[in-house]
Amino acid sequence: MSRLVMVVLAVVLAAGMLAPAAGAPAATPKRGGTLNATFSSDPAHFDPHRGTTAQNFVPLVYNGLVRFKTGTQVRVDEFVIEPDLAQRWEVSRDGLVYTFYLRRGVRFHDKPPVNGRELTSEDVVWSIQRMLEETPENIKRDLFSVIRSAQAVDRYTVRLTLSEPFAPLLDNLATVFASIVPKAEIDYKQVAIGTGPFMLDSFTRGSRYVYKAHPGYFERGQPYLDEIVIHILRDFATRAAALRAGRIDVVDLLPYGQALPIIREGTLAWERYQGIFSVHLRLNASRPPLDNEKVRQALSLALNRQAIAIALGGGEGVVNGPVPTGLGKWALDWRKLPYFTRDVNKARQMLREAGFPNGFTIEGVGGASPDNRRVIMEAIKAQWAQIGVTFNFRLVDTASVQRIRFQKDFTILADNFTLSSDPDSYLFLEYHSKSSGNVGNYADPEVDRLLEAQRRELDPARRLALVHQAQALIAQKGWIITTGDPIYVSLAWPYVRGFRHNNINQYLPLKNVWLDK
Amino acid sequence: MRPFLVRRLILGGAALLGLSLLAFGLIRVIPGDTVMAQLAESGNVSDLAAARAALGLDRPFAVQYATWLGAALRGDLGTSFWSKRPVIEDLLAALPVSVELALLAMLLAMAVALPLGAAAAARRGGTTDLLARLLSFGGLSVPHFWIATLVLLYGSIWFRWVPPLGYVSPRESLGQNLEQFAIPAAILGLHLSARSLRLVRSSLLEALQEDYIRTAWAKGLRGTRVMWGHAFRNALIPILTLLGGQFTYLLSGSVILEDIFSLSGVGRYIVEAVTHRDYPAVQGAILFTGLVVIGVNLVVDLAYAWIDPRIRYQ
Repeated sequence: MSRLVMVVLAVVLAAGMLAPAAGAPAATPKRGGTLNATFSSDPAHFDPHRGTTAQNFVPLVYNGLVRFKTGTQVRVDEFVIEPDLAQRWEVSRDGLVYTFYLRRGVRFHDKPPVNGRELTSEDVVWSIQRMLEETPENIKRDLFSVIRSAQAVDRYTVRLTLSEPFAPLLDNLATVFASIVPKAEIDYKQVAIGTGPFMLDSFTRGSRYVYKAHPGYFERGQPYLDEIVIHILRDFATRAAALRAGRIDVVDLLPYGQALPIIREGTLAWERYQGIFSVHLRLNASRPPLDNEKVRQALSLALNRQAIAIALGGGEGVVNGPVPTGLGKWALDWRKLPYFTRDVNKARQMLREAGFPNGFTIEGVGGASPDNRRVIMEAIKAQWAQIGVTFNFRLVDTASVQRIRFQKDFTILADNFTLSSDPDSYLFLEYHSKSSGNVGNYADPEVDRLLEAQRRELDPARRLALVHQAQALIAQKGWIITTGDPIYVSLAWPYVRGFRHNNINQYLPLKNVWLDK
Repeated sequence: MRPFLVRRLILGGAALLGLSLLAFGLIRVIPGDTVMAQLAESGNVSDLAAARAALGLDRPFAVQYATWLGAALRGDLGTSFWSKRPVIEDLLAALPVSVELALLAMLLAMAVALPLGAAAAARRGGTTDLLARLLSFGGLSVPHFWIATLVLLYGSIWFRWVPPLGYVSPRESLGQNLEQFAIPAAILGLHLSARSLRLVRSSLLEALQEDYIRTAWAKGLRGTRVMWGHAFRNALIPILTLLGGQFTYLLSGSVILEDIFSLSGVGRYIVEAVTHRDYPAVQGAILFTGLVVIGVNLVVDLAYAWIDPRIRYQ
């Protein structure tokens, strides 16, 4: 198959991937049953405000003030905010005061020390204060740091006051990191107590996590399942075999290429979607030769990003600009981004102009796991070789990557972005000269101005224009080489109904699931 | 006997002390630390210093080591940086999985290796011997995790069956427990039997050359009596040494198989602890494994005297 045909095929498939699943006419959900799902590693605890390992294990247990709509009627790249614990909310004209009106009669799980009592505004204020605590473990504090105060107006009303207008606030409040927990001292290493559709019933580390339906859940009629068991299966082959053998009912987030053999067997239902995990190369702009903008632009220009994205997905992938394509309207089409379309001759010429007629040798580093860093760096090494740049990279373990990132001890670092539904995380955190997440020493007054402006802009259309403008300028700077995302699939037995992946709160969609058997 | 035991215990203690110092030092030497591993997305460097101080990592190495050792001597292996639970609890939860897998695999290995090794030795150069040697070479050449992956893959495609997921203790349900362990233990057992088979065969061959065997034949004893009553007991010492080594190896060395069959044993615990730079967990698990190795070796040494009355410990 020629490269052109492959590219056309990839684009056509990419365009079709977000279409809702064919068939499966709406049916009345059946109640009961146990759903077996899987994840690859244990959480360190169940505290939604303290760390990312919990994030896949707690969305079922907690609710937020607002949430992302889930279910088969929403597309994977849409992030629609809907009421959760807050029935409705108001935003002041200056964008500084948010008033949330809570649902009445919402009950916590019937476990000590809370024992199924009603949720009140006190719990919300307590949770927000926990989210804002300045402890080192509070790693998602940046998402909420604009909140200056949280105040219980009455039993069912909470007022948040911000230090400045902040467009991403509601999206950030919809993440699992803004879960509402009861005002009580709880040992989150052992228990999880929330208001959510499922209660964490028991768990054996390294083996399984058992959730039972919350009988007092506030959405009448939900959840449909009696029980969810999440099995810890580290090995990919084990997950695939367990799915085939029916020990697991649903597997999510499999790269399309890996899932293909199972898809071809024809017994399982599957759905494709695009992730927003986007591995990229951070160039250290304070180290020669990368301090030279022309060199960075030449490196960007030398890349065939489609080939890299396809390599990542084991056959299918999509190219990402600064904001991943999976974020829908926020992403700017990569074909419109400067220095994104490959031109080897021009790249060579730019290197000559920059004073490197014979190219140079440059060092890279990246995490050994997951394997996608290696795939990307190998592809880039081959492509840069064509403009005379020798790219030598090494793979290290996670803890070493953290050290390298914090000490900014790299020339090129293969890394990933913080997962978010809002473009702000991909832009402000990475490129603003004052951001703690800016590890490549990027600084440009115009970029700073655009990034600050989009944060403050509450008008969606005007914000969208600012976000697009910022992306074009960032691509021009050539600071971070964004590559792409593989196409992922979720695979399930046909009797699993109502499941659709959500990129932010991965297991949240399980609350819509029912078993047709 | 007593002086021997005392000497062995003192030497064992010294070995453990050395091991603990090595484990304590080496995990701190590798790049990246537990705070880095935990604060995956925090960017504030002053926070990192605070986090290190909270875990006591800002104190001098010697102070950290002495504090940890003091607690370990009292049976307290510390609290995991990662799960924030006592290391001893997490270890004791992982132990039954590894012990059961190791014992079942060894049992199966012996069930194959002893009769087949004996038959091969009795009819040296015959068909059984050839078969035994083929099996032994095959078992040693094929990696067990490859066989395990194939069994899972084709089990799921052809029979739509894989072992149940997650560990079920035999007290909970013996049937499910055995369904879970049968395949991994069989694969591991087959792999081990290849190793043991060669040793059983060669040890028996050696014993069968001895004068007392000729005497036994001359007395008119039956073949089985000569083999099992005289030759086997004398060939048992190297086999026992091998078994001791195998057990301690399996206790923490079957990580890949544990992963493939979703069993969380001691090996997996150590690997995860290293990945998270979970110092107390790494130190505790290594000390614990060291203790088992020394204990098992001592038991094996004592068993020599029981098997061969000529051996006396002074």
